[in-house]
Amino acid sequence: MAALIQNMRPYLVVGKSCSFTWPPNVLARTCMTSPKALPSAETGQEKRPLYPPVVPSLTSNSEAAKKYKQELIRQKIASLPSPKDKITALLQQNRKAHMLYALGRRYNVHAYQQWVTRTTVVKQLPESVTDVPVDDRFEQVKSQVMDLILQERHYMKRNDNKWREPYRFGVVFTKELARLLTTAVSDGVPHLATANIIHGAKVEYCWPHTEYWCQLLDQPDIQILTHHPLPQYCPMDSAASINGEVPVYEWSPRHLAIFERTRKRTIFPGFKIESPIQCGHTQFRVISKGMSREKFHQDLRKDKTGDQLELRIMGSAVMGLFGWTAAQAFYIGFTWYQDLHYPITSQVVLTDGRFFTFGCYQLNTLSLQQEDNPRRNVLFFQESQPLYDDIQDGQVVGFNDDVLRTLLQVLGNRTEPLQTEWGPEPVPFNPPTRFNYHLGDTQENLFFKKMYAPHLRKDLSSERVVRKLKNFKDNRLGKNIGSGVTDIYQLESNPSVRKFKGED
Amino acid sequence: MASSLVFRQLLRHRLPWHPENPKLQVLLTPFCIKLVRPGKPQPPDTLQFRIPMEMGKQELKIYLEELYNIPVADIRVRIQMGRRARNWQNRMYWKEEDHKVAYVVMRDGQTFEFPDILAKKEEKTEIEKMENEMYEKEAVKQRETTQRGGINTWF
Repeated sequence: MAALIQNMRPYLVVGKSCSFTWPPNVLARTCMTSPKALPSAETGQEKRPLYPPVVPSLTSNSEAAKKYKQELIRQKIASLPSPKDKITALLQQNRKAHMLYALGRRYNVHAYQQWVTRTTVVKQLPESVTDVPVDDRFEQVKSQVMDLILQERHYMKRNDNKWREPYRFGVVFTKELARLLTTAVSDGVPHLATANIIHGAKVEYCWPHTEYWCQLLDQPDIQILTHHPLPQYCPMDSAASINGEVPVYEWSPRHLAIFERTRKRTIFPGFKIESPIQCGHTQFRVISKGMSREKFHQDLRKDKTGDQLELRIMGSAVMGLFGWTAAQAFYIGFTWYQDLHYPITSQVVLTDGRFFTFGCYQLNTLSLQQEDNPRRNVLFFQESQPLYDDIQDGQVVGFNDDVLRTLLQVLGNRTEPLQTEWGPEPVPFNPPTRFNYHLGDTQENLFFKKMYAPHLRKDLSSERVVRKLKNFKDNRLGKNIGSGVTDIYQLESNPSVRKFKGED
Repeated sequence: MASSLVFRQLLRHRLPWHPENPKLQVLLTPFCIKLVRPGKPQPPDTLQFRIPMEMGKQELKIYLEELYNIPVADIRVRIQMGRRARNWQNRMYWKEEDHKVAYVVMRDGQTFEFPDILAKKEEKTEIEKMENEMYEKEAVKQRETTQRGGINTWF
């Protein structure tokens, strides 16, 4: 009997409904301990404190008590075993959140995007990318790419009435280019041979900023996922991450056409949590969906300044990659309150069909609402360069080799299996008081019940409920009294809470 | 400078045609705008103007760039309804006029902060504040005693 008691849990687990619970007298017997000998001074054991720790009470609504309750709930969530449970526990409530998108259309939106994601920008690609050796088959790949350009631009006759030309050309060209490069180069590059390429999956991520919540909704055109993650570009506490400049934007984001909405928050990096391949490698994004380069400079009415195009591309890279890497971190087990202890990296290629821009992002922190946090996330960015100048008489004019070289380097950046353990350290949950599910409904007990069994939130309200019964039959009187009976059947507590009918 | 301004011509201001008139008619601006202090905190590169209802974003942009040399990046415009009141017969009437508000974002990192125009009230020194408190307490005591006929509250 004692062995059975030790194996059965005397409490309820989050998310599961248990039809059996131990009666309280049995539980009390398990908690009773045999009288121990007093600790002797010779052994030098630590003195057990006589009184329990001084802690704000769970029944009050003071600020200290609210913080304490919040911390207890966060500890409970941190002690959950799987990241799926953590995500469902954190995202239960609907909240007002600012809806953010990767491409902003206001003046200097990139500054706000950097401030909200805490990223610094370095204008150079990192050494680990520029040092990647390019294959011997460079000339072959170059000829194939030129053939592709001629095919899409020169020879193909498409129905222009349906789609806008830059949009259609950019999307089709990037998809064909990605397919070509991943298949042509996969001999010397093992991670691309076993990679997953996803088209048009949505990326969603929500996070708390200093005074409000943000929700990113994004749809990159192509995602490449690999079995192992990319290595880091610079150590987490290096100069770039701690001393980097982050622009400050303390005014409300309504000035930048970013509005709030009450909706269920979501965290989704483009693939489900049960999928075998969980590391992001590169993203391909098509810019011509949102803005076109020719119209940008020709539009004299709006008179967009020349810098804004590059800055908006940079901002879209920042937002897209931040959401992607942070959602991957959540799938591993880290949360806003359990910070990373190794960086997560990924890459992006932004195209127009003709112009190419490259970015490498390193995520160092998830907790952005703390001002003490010295770490920042870093984006290594290279400005846009054209792949070719023009097409004349069936030939590509002004082909740029550097762009193709960096593209192959970005795709050929090798992945390495992680040396450290994945996921955060397991944190045990030790609440300060022991509670019994069947004890009286004090405020303190209710708090613990709600924490341990959030799916029973509605049933744990301690209000009086008066129910009307249809066809109430009183066996003592032996006849059907009818509906609308309220005097006889008054309840003192909610009947859906199971009550133990024995003696406590 | 004024020759490059082309505004929408309101019919009342049009001159009658004459063959010796110049082809590009030079018109003075019929518009008058007002820079105001923003009600809610705005970023430092935004200005808030009150604008006549007939004016549009593009016209305001040309106005500011030609007359005042302000480099403009972005303008957002909204129409504010004037506050209205009711009288004792619950009849509604408009007390204030409708006006248009424009938020102008400046280019090239220029900033502007609306200055304090009103004269600052002199703050009382600590001694004066303490004196005022004492006077108030004594006045309260006096009120209690006068109600009781000048007798102290001990009785």
